[in-house]
Amino acid sequence: MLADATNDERVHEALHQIGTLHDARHVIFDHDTRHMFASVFDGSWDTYIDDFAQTEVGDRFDKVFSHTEGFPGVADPGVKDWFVAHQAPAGVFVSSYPDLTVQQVWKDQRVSEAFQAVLDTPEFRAALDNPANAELLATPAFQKLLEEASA
Amino acid sequence: MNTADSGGAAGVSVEIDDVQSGALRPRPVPYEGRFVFLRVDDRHAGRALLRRLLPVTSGGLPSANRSQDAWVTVAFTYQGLRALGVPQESLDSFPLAFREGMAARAELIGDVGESAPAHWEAPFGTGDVHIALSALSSDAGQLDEELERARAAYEDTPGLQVIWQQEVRQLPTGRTTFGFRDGISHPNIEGVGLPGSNPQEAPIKAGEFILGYPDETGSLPSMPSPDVLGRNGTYVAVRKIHTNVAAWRRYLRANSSNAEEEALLAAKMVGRWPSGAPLTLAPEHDDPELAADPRRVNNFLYRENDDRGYRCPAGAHIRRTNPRDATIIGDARMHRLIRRGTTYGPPLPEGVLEDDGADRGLVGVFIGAHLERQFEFIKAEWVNDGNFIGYPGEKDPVAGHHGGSGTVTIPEKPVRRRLRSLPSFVVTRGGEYCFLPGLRALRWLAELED
Repeated sequence: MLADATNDERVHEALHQIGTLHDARHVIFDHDTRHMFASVFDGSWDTYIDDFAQTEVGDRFDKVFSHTEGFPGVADPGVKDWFVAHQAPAGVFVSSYPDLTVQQVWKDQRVSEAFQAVLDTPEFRAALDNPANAELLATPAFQKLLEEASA
Repeated sequence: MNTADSGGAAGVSVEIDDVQSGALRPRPVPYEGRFVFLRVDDRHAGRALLRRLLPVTSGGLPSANRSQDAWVTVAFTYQGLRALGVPQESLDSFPLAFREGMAARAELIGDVGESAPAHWEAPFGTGDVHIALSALSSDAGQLDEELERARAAYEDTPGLQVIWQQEVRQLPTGRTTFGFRDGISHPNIEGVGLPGSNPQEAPIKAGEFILGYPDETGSLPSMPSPDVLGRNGTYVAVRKIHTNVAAWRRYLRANSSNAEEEALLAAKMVGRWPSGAPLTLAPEHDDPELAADPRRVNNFLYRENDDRGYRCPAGAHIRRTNPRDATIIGDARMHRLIRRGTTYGPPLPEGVLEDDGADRGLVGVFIGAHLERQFEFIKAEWVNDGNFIGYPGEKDPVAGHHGGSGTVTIPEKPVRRRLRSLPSFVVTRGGEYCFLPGLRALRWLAELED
């Protein structure tokens, strides 16, 4: 059950709906006696937990955690207290993009793909060579864009 | 409704007559009202007050007779329940946000800078507000009558102090101090018998608004104990908000080149025109005829015709605070709220751009069975951030605290408009979290012993 989540279409759909989760993993260790769940998300951990419980991922979550001792169920009003009682602080946590939310990463990816597609159109090359656009090309903002376009 | 299809919900019938009228009734139009805060210095005096207030406090829905449209509502802060001698075990059963009180949660809900509790008007946030009474009516004579009955219950009683009062009334324009009609939207609550304002909204489970019934998670929400105290109660966030109307007008003027553009910009920030007509249904100009039609004024969703926000920006005030079916992070149905805004202070005369120093604004009442998942979530995620709509860090243009550096994104083709250097148009003067018990619970409180 843990293995198939990566390629499940419905899980991807739910992740898209949740929209704050960068990544998550379940780890079974200590000779299959202990379980660790670790995730990276935007905002505080419990903000969206009730929303999350309503989705396909919430169902999966519930099934996995049902094998842990005393888990009250992801939709139980006491579930936040259970998580708080079982959490352990990370000794070290670093991120390469600490200020980017999942929403921004997605937006950046869409913009980048669209930008690359524009660069591939001959009409765009022609527009750059058109003297009528010289003023736009000379602006620092457009120069930044061209710098990204050049390599 | 097809009862055969409603499954578990078929058995749910809300004991509406035990729910205080102030919880579910939409604000009348026009309206007059008063808020009164009391401090209880002697629990016996407090309980005696409740016994006298019981016959004044009404439950249930509006009567057909509009002349009886007046009601008194009684609510308690955590400190108030303690002052009345509610047992510790029961006090401990209330949710954390309520026990801590609004002032302690200020940073979370964005009451920072000039809106921080350090600058609040006394007695907000001091722990002295114990009982919050409110009276609301469509008729000044009715209101006075109700107030007189309530006043007889609390005036000149040793052990009780009236520590704050605020009159509210609809402005002659019928609009808020910013110049927009409000009080239009009301959720469609299952099993209550009160029509929602949006015919396209699927009923929300009663447990989202009243304790003792299943909510949208499918569970019974946790409820204060004993049962008799919690059942048919709910929570209220009461806030006094000062509106800086001159700054609002100046910002609109500075960012538009004629009156028509100015009106459109204001509508883009609010999501409705001054008449109340929503941008999603009236994208080009105000439509007072549509606004006057109760079947049409709130009859819309976003996803099908306006998901990108070319009509009503995703960041507009009414779309942030009630995103309906728009594409957002999470599930909007988990974060519904009953809102009742009432205006205080004189209007700033039409066309005036300089602040006249008068205090004007609104007393806002926000009602739901889950303070953290509803009011606090909405403030933190929807009003004071924009990540949920893809604009991280951008706040509600009207209700957000911008401190001069806010931005507003207005979708437009070919390129979105982005306004900068937004000042705050509102300042929080204070707020309290209250528990609004059912009528049986009110009696239980009145009959506490020792």
